[in-house]
Amino acid sequence: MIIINEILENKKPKIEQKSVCEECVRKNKMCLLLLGKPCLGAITLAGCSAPCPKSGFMCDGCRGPKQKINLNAMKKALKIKAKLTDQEIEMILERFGKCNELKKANT
Amino acid sequence: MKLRIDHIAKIEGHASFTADIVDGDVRAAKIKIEEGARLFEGIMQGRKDEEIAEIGSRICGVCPVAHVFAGFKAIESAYKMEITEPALSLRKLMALGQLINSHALHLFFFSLSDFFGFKSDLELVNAYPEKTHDAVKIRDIGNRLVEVIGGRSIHPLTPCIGGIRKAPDASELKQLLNDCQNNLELTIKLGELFIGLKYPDFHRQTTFVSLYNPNEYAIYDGQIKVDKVVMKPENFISLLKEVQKGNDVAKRTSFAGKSYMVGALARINNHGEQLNPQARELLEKSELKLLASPNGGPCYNPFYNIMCQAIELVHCFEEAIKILNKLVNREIIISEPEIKNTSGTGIGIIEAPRGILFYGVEIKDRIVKGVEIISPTCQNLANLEADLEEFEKVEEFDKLSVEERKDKIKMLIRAYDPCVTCAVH
Repeated sequence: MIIINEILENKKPKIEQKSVCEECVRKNKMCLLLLGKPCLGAITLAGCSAPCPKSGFMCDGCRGPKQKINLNAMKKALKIKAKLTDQEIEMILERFGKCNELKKANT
Repeated sequence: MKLRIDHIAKIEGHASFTADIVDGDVRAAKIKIEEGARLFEGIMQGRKDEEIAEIGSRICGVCPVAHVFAGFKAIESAYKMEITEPALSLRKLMALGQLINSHALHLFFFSLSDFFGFKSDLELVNAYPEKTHDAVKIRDIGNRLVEVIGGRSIHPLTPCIGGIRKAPDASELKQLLNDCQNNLELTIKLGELFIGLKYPDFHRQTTFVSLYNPNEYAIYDGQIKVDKVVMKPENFISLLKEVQKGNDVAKRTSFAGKSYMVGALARINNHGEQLNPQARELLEKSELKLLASPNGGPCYNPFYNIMCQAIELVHCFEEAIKILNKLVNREIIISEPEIKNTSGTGIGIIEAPRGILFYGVEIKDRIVKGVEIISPTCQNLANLEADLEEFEKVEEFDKLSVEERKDKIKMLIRAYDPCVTCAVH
């Protein structure tokens, strides 16, 4: 609806930049990452209403990264909270082929 | 003369058909897959174990649940894990939901218009608006079974290695039970519609392969039954041969050198007596037709695959009601099991809507070393082509015009319910 209105007003529609965490039912409680599971919700573009974390499944970033993310902080969180090795982190991040996208979005 | 169908509509995926007609006989019938190789088995190599099921489910949008479970079952057999209740019941429910969803789609929207001679489904929908509504309703229940338990109606999220991640909402399960009970009558009516249809008279002897479980109508688990012989999955696989001819992207499978059939017809021929009461009643009503095959034994008419799917639909509803009745009256407590072994080889088999689906895996330290997938359509393709070559023996086939011949051939291909996307995994 918002997009249609914007097109009618001759504006270029923009994708709202928020992360999956903001739509997640686990927000503020039972966060998967805090429970030690490698969830990428924090750096992933929202819009899916977070069905995966709702079912206890880690967000694997299928919608691509949102703009201006702190990739190093994410990697650090995965390392400390989910106790993953560098190689395992790379395997998770490359899953949706977004290594280059991630570098672009990293600030 | 060459017979050629460039695009076979109303099957899952893209395929075409070519054959030579020599003196009225169909020769060299060939289904050509019009899709590129997708190399899923290669993609999975070097990935983590649970990704077998996640990536594998993307092979097919119609039967993702079957791929997920076959993948997890293979991993579980490699790790020597046993699934406990209630996770097992929940998984069975999802497999039933998958069958309901896929059968309802194929029965009503893919096959039915062939029998009435409608050229497009829109004509069918206009002619029978109420029946269409019923079919959509039945399909929706199958979808909801998967959605409530799996978290999403396609590519379910909750299954994990050794069980299920999250218990479904109790009130939603109750709602599902109600819906299943209320719509059982509708499903039986749909079944009666398919029993009343006139199927083409065509027989060709073949081998039927399905899962077999002495305690129940096997869908989720069991051993392999080849006609009357029950054998272990490992033994069956050792006798299987996959052949790739030329630049074909889908492999053809043969068992002990012969083509065989999997799917609803194979299941009902092999263990139809295990169906639930109402489904068995339907089967008995159609008994004359099923026993009309030349030697009075199993039914060798592939067109009856369609009717068998309608009977299975009723069975699935009854089975779902049975399982749901057990689940709604108690609290469902679920915990993720611990993984002790991290290496091994295993085989996972499940009855997908179109037949048995194999996953063979080799895992080392939770990293996948090799995957082997044999999908139902790969197994059926060789049999389907053999059937098509014999097809001219159908009554008065040589008197039909080319267009009518094409229609009949398309009808036979659709009766098999091929899933091309699974075949080119």
